[in-house]
Amino acid sequence: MTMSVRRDTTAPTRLAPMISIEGLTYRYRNAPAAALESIDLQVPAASTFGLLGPNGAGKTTLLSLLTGLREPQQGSIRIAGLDLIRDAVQIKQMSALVPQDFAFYLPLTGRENLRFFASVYGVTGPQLARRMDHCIAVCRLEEVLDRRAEHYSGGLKRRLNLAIGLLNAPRILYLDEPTVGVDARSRQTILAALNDLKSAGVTLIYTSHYMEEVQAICDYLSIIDHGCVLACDPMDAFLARATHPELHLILANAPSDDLVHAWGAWQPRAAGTYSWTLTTARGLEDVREILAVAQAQGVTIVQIQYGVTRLEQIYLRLIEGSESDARQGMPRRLSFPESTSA
Amino acid sequence: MHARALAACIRKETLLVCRDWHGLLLLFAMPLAFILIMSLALQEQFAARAGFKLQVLAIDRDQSESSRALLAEIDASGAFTVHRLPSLPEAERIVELVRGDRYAFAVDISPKFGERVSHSPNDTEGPLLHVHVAADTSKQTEAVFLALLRESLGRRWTEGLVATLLAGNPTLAGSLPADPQWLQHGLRVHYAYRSADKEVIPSSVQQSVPAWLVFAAFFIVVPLSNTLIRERQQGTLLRLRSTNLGSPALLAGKLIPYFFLNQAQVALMLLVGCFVVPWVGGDRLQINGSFAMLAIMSASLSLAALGLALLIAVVSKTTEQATLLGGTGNIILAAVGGIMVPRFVMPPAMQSLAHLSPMSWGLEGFLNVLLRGEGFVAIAPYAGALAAFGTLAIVLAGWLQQRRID
Repeated sequence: MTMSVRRDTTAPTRLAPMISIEGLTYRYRNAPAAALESIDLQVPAASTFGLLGPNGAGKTTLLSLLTGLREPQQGSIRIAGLDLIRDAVQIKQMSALVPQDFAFYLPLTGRENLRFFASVYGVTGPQLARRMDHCIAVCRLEEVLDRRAEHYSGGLKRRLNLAIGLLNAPRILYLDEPTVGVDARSRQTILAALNDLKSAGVTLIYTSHYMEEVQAICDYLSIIDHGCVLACDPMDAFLARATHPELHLILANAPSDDLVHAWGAWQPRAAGTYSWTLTTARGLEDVREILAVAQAQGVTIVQIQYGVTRLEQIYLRLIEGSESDARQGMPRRLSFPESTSA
Repeated sequence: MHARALAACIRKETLLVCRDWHGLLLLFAMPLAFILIMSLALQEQFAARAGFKLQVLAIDRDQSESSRALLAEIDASGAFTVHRLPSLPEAERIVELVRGDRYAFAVDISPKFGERVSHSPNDTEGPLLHVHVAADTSKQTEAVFLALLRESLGRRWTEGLVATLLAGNPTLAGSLPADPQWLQHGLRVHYAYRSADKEVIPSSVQQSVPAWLVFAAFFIVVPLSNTLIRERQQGTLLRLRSTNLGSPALLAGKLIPYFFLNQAQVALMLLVGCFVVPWVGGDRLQINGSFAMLAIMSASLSLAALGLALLIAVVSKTTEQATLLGGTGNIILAAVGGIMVPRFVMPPAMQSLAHLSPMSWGLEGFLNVLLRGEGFVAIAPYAGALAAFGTLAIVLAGWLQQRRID
């Protein structure tokens, strides 16, 4: 059974909003549908705000509107109390974009890139050296500064990409998949740098397809699909409200058909031969029964994980629910299969 | 199984190549364009038998039997067609006409030509013929034409001699030329681009430096469009646009270095023409015009090339496409515009088409400055056309880019 719930997609803000979006609509020339349709969002100051959605959902369009690359066709955007169009110069001074691509010059060294972009941001004089030193330290680029960026590894390029975004000491930083394709060490460096920024009061707008990363660093989350906001909540509320606890088991041997049949009430889902996930609507009572059935069938369990909510599952359910609504001709809305609360 | 895989590979590759319209253009459209352009442009070089001849302007101030015979022999040579003017123009007007695209030569026959060519061996009245050579006429063609004239003059003289002998004139010996080489002096050659105070003999360097200078300047299209596309593809442009830099500064910051690169190209090529070519045994390039006029031409040429580069960067999706479009486009503009083949050897229709190529405007402007030593009035139409082309291309590129963003 699927229970659908209409939600107010404006985030409940504990803090004053840094970004306030009302009725925002944008449609590309000759496009059959609007890329963004009547979006309302509020991003609290000094928060890390995650933007999730499938490819083509409208995230990039929203980012390009927020960064002033496009102008809203309908609705309004206010940033730090300023109007995006009228006060564009001030807004651009206090914000920075870290694009998904390596948005710098590969034939230049890291230092040359930083110096060039600092000039573009208007950072000069004694401030220049101070800001550059800070960004280099935060992104740990000291050892490679005088090498051409084309010789950097993927992780170093990502770090330089981020460092450039920090040059103007932004109050708002837009990050478009800042860790895509990097090794664990560079990812750690980038995430640590983002946490430091957050502690320093910088508002981070973050898009990524790495759910674990989003879950780990974002305070607020908004899910966008087909130009509509499907959900917008603080992360904890989002996780608590949207799912049942699940039981993840790793078995020593493949379960028999009888066992899978016996687990039928808990909707067993295989992620490979030995890894199984089961829904536990009745909590620990269900866990006990599932394990008892397995034991009775003589299956050895290697690993048990219970009570860990995975953002990815919630996200996929939301998107699937949205698609289902669209197929039935219903407006897209927040939809939680077997949701226990509204 | 292997056959299926092979068939799948062939199908895949066929689809890829069919969808790569830039590649198809390179493979098919470019050779087609070249065949058409070069065949038409060189038609007169290879098709004399088909009736294509170089045009010769004739000014007959004598109207004698001998002068008419001379012009008839030029006409009958099979390589030249004589055009007679109804009225007798001044020398300046003749030069002006030869500077146009139509005539390769002008032959100005002096009064009393008929009488002097056969009876005045110790002539001191000046040349019998003034020959004006167009700036872009090749040395080879000029030599052939002058040989034809000398042969005809010799024939006129021989006919006079034979007629005198047959008449049994006793004073014949006194009237015979002391040195038959006098015929050499009976013909004076002028070059249509000679400046008022300098005698410049046409040379390959005088012709080729302006041509290849214009060609090279337009090749700025390739590196400039490539850097722009790379900025767009890598998101650098996005990042820059999200700052307070602004589009004018962004554009100017991009174009100014390339503008100076163009100026360096022009300066380098002129220096090579002036110093390196003579050093390796060639003729020295003579700069007859002022440096101010050179600067105007060079700046307007650069503006046109930069505008074209922006336009190509906007319409191309990848650097490969831009390189292809820029490279082949330049070669075609050069072929049409008289860079590869001088315009005077092209048939009239091709000569008209040549005027559409910005490279032709550049070439004419530089020829006016470097060879003809002309001033602002003479270069203004070419510099203006180049500047207008460049400005229009930049505006169009901006409009297309905005449409793409929207």
